[in-house]
Amino acid sequence: MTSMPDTARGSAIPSRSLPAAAESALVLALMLIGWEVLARTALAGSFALAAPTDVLVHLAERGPLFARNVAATLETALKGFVIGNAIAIALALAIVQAPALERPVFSAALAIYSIPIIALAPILMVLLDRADAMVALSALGVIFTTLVATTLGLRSADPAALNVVHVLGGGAVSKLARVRCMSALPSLFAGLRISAPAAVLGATVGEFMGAERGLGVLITDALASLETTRVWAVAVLATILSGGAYAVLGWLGRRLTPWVDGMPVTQAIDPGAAPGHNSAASQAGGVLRAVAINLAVVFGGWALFIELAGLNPFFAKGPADVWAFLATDADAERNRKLIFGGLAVTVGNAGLGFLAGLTGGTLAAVVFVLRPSLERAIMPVAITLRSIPILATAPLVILMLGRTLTATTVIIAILSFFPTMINVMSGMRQTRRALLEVLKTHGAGRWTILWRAELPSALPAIMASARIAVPASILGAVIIEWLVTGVGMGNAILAGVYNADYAVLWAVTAVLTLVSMGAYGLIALAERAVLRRFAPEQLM
Amino acid sequence: MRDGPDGVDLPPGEQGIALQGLTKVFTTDRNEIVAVRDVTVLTPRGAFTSLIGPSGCGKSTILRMLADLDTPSEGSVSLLGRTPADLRRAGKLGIVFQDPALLPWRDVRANIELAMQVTGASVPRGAVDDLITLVGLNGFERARPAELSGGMRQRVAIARALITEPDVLLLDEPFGALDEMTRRRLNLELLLIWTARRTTTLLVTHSIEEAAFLSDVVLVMSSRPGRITAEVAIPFRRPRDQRLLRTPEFHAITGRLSDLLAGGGNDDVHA
Repeated sequence: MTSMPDTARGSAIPSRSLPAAAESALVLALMLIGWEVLARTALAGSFALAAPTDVLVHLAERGPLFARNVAATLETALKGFVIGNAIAIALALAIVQAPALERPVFSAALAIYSIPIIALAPILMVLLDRADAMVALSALGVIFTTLVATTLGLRSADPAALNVVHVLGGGAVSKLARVRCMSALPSLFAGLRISAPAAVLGATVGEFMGAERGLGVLITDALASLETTRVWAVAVLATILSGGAYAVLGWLGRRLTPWVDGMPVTQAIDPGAAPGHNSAASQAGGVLRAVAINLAVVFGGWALFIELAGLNPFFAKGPADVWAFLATDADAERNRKLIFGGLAVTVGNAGLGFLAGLTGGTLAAVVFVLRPSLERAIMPVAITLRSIPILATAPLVILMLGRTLTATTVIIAILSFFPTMINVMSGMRQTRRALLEVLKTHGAGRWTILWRAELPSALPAIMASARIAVPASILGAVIIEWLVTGVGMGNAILAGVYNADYAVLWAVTAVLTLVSMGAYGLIALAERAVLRRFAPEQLM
Repeated sequence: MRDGPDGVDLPPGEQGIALQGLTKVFTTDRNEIVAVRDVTVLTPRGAFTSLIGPSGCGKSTILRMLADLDTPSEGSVSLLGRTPADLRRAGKLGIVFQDPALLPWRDVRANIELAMQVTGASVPRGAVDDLITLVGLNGFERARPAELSGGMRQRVAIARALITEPDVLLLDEPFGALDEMTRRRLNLELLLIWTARRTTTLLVTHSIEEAAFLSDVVLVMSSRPGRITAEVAIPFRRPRDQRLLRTPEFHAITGRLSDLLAGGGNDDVHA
C-alpha cells in the first residue's frame, strides 16, 4: 500500500489558523529553495538530485505525453476506487445489520489486504480483460481500509441517540438512515482518503505488467533510463496523483462533515475493530478458531473462485494444484527452493524496512513531542509527505542509493514511517492531563514523564501501526524486488511470468498472503497483551 | 393516594403506568444479578410519578422496560393499558436521557424535528416554533449542539420529546448532569409545560427535592435487589412554583422521603 491506514484513534489537530499555514508554506518554500541550491551546487552532477526548476521545465516540455499517461492511470484508479469502495461500504452495512457476518467478512477483507497484488497482477492479466484486470487490482487495494473505517464509523453512532430513535418507534432502517450513516461519515472519509493512494498503486502495478500507457509505464521507463530529471519528474507526477486524491478527499470530507471539530488527521482505524481482536480471540481456543476461520475463508474463497469462474486450467490453479506444485510434483523440490528461498529473502527485506520504519517513526514522534515548536512547522509538511506513494519514493531512492539492500530498506521504511509517526504522536497526546499534572507536581522531569506516561499511552498506537504495516511492508518488498533488485519473491514472479508458469505465480500469491496474514495475526495477539496491560478500556 | 406498595384499584381506562410483579434478572458469565424484584405499581393516567433511590437500585432498569429498551424477566408492564412495544411502535412515547443525545450534524430545529420524522406524527406548522419559544431557545434555531451549553442541549432534548405530544413521557435523570441553578430553572420550566399538558410521566432521579417538587406520587426504591419500599403521595396543589420549596410542608415531605431512603440503606442521595 502506498500509504497505510492510520491507526490511532479519533485525535484531531485543530484546524489550521492562518499564521500556522503561512509557517508551513514558508518551510515548504525554504525546502524548495534549499533543494534548488543544493542541486545546482554541491550535488550538481551527482545524478541524485534534480533542481526543481529543471523538473518543471521537463514536465512542461513533455506535458502532453505525461498528461496522456497520467490520465490513463487516473481513469483506472478512479474506476477501481469507486468499485472497491462500493463493495467495502456495502459489506460494512451488512456487518452492522448482521453481526454474525463480521468474522468471515473481516477474514476475507484481511486476506485481500494481504494479497501481494504484484504477484496477482500477471495472473489477473491473463484471466481477465487487461483493462478490467487493472481496475480489479486497484479495487482490491481499497477494500480493507474502507471496510474497517466504515464499520467503525457505523458503530461509533451515539448509543443514546440510537435509544432515542428506538423509543420514538424507529426500527433498524430508521436508525441506520438517521443516525448511523451520518455518524459514519467522518470515519468513512478518513478511510477513503487513505484508500485513494492505494487505488493508484493498484492501477500502477497493473500497468507494470505491460500496459500501453500509464504511470506504471512512465516509472518503468524512468527506472530503465535512470535519467535524473526524468525520474524526478515522474516522482512528482506520482505524488501529485496520489497526494492530490488524498487532499481532495480530505477537503471533501471536511466540507461534508462541518460538525466535526478540527481536521481528523488520524481518524482512526480502531485496533478493536480489526480481525483477531474479538474477545473470543483472547483464549487459545479463540485464536485457533480465528486461524481456522481465516484459513477456511482463504482456501474456500480461492477454490470457489477457480470452480465458479470456469477459467482455463492452464492459467487458473486451485489449492490442490499449488499443493502438487510444492509437494508432489517431480520438480517439487526445485519449486520449494524457488518459493521458500525467495520467501526468506523477501521476509528479510520486508522485516528490515518494517523495523526501521517503525523505530524511525516512533523516534520522530518523540522528538516532535519534546520540541513542539519543531512540530508546528514540520508537521503539515510531514502530513503531505505521508501521502507520497512508494511509486514516487522508489525511483528516487534507487537513484540516490543504487540497487542495494539499503535502498530497499529505506523504501520500505518510508511506507510505515509517516503513519507510525503521526499515530504515535496522537497516542502520546492522549496521555491523561491529570496524570501529567500529578507527575509534574511530584517534580518529574521531562524524560520521566516521557518514559512513565507518554510512551505507555502511545503503546496501543505503536502496536496498531505495526499490525497495519505488515502487509504493506511485504507488498513493498516484493514490488521493489520485482521492479528493481530481481531477488526474493520478486524474482520468483519474474521467473513465473517469463516461463508462463502460472503455478509459480499462484504459489507466490498464496504463500505471501498466508505469511502476511500470519504476521498480522501474531502482532494482533501481542497488541492484545499490550492493551490488556496499558489500555484495558480499549478491549471489548 | 395513600402510602404503601399495594396501590389503588383503577378502571382500565384510567390506568397510567401499571407494573405487575415486575422482575428483571441480568445474567453474566459468572452469576445472576436481580436488578428489579417483584415490583407492583399502579398510577393513574395523567399523573407525574417519580422513582427515587440510590445508584444501582434498578430505577433506570424499570424505565428502560417502560421504554421497550429492555424486556422483563417476569411480570408485566403496561402503559395506558397497552404494552410498551405497542405504544413505542405507534410513536406515542417521549423520552429524555441524562445525555441529551442530540445529533451533532443537525441544528436545534432539525433535532426537534427528528421526533416528527421518526414517529411520522403530523405536527401543525408553527408548533415547532411555539415549542422552541416555550423551552427558551428562541434565536438558536440554527445552532448546532456543539454551540450550545449543557442546559440548552437538554432543553432541545425536552422539546424533541414533547413535539409529538406523546401519551407517555419518560425522563431518566434528565437534569442529572447540570449544575444546581440550571437544574432548578429547568425543573420550573418543565413543571410549567407539564401542567399545561398533563402527560402521564415517569421521572427517574437522585434528587429528593426534584421528585417532591414535580410529582403527584414518589416511589422510593432500595437496592440489592431493587424493590419499591414506599409510595408517597405528594399533596401540594398545582400550579406549583418555587415558593413551594420554602414551605414547612415541603420540608416535611422531603425529610420524610429522606428518612425512607436512609432506611433503605442509601448512600448517595441528596435532598
